[in-house]
Amino acid sequence: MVMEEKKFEGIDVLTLEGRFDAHTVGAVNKWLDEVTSKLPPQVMVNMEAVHFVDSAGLAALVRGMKRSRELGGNLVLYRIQQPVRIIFELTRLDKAFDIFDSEESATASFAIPYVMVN
Amino acid sequence: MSETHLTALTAELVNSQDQLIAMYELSQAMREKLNIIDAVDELAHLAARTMKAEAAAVILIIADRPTIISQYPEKSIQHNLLEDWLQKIQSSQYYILQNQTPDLNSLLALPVHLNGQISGALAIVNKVGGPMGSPDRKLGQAIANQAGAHLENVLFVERSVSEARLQTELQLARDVQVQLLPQYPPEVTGLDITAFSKPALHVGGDSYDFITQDSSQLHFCLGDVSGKGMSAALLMTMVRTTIRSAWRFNHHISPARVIDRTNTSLYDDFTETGMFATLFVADYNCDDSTLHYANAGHSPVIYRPKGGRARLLEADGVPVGVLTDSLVEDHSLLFEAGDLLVVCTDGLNEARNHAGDLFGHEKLLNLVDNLSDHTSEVITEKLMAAVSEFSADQPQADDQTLVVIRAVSK
Repeated sequence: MVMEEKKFEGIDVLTLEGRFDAHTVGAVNKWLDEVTSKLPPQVMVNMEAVHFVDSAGLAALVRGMKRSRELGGNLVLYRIQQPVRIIFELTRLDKAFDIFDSEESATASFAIPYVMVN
Repeated sequence: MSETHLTALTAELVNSQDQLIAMYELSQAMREKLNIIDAVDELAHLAARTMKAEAAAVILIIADRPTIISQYPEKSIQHNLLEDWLQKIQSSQYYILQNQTPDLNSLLALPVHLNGQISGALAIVNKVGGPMGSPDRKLGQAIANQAGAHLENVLFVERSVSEARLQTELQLARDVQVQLLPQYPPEVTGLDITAFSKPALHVGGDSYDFITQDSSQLHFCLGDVSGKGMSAALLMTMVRTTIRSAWRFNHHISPARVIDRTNTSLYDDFTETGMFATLFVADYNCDDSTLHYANAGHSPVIYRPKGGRARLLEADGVPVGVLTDSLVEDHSLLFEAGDLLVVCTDGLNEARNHAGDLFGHEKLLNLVDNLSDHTSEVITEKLMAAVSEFSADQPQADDQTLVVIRAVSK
């Protein structure tokens, strides 16, 4: 799996490509640990080129999302493609994450501070 | 032959004999030491004695362990010096032989090879009675080589023992996990139930549980913790315990509330371990032939009404451990003779064949339609056989758990 990081207007953006599973999750977890150590964490994950994700990959995203929100920020996903979309729908993780269709709308979501609603 | 020549030859012969005796002693002494630390201690001691030096030290770097340093006498050489010498030897692939350095009278540092790599060094310091030269270096290297071979054996034995111990522990853990599963399907009026679980490794993150009340009421759950192996198994055990407690404490608790309580109780544990668990909880009451259920992110859950088509019961809640509010709601279904509920973990639909194709939901749904007239036992067998046949000789990638519940006439 290929990983590409960039920073854009104070937001950490990660682009993933290929299979996102138990074998490839280590590097992503490391990156997430780093970017969620700054306050507040503002993280975007571009899922456009991810064609497979397993529970280890999902768990990594969940972990990053929880950490980000705990520290007053957020981790959002965008451009999730079909085979992976279904997995998010079946597990209802589409309710847990803020998911966007484009990089623009994902970026715009950070203009408004994230508020945890219990 | 001149007398000088003869004297020189004799000296060489005596020297060689000394060396042989020294090597033999080393070999004998080290053979008795079956752990790395003892072996290295013995080596330092013997090296100092054999080389007739004031001090000797051994430094070893082995993967996944802290650096091993042993010296005779103790604390004679600073650790950072030993580390420097080892680094020099590793980069130059050559020994160090120095006489009359500012700090030492003489220093001989030799590489110790483990499995073809320079993994350590044997340092001999301040030979008594003179400078060190080529004969010292030869003897020292012979000692280092001998030691290296012996240390390789010791490491091999240590690893084998540790492997065997791990296997035994995994086997024990598996035995416990198997014992924790319900030993027999529950007896409930109006239901025919079969359950089956096959972890990918020794232990896994899948599990299911049943509790009945006087054979007219059934509580059932099936869960899948993200990940595999020991950590997933431990989390799953906690989930089961929490659910059992909830049922025992309040027989009338609804499936959605059970999931909420599990989520609240274990949310922090899931956060700590970076995991989550999909969970399906159901109650069946014989008196009203109704199935009440709640689903936190779990699939596949297959429902087939008698005479109808099999379909997936979709989750509405998120998996346990993802959000502080699980968002699950209670649902109800009439569950009468001929109706079928098949709940399994995605190890079945995500099984792959050699071409990399997934078994998929379609196949599962079609199989359930085709097998609907059979007993739960036969349905279970045939579903597992179909998945097994599909994936043929591919290793099992994920835990596979399956529960089949068929409503029968009472």
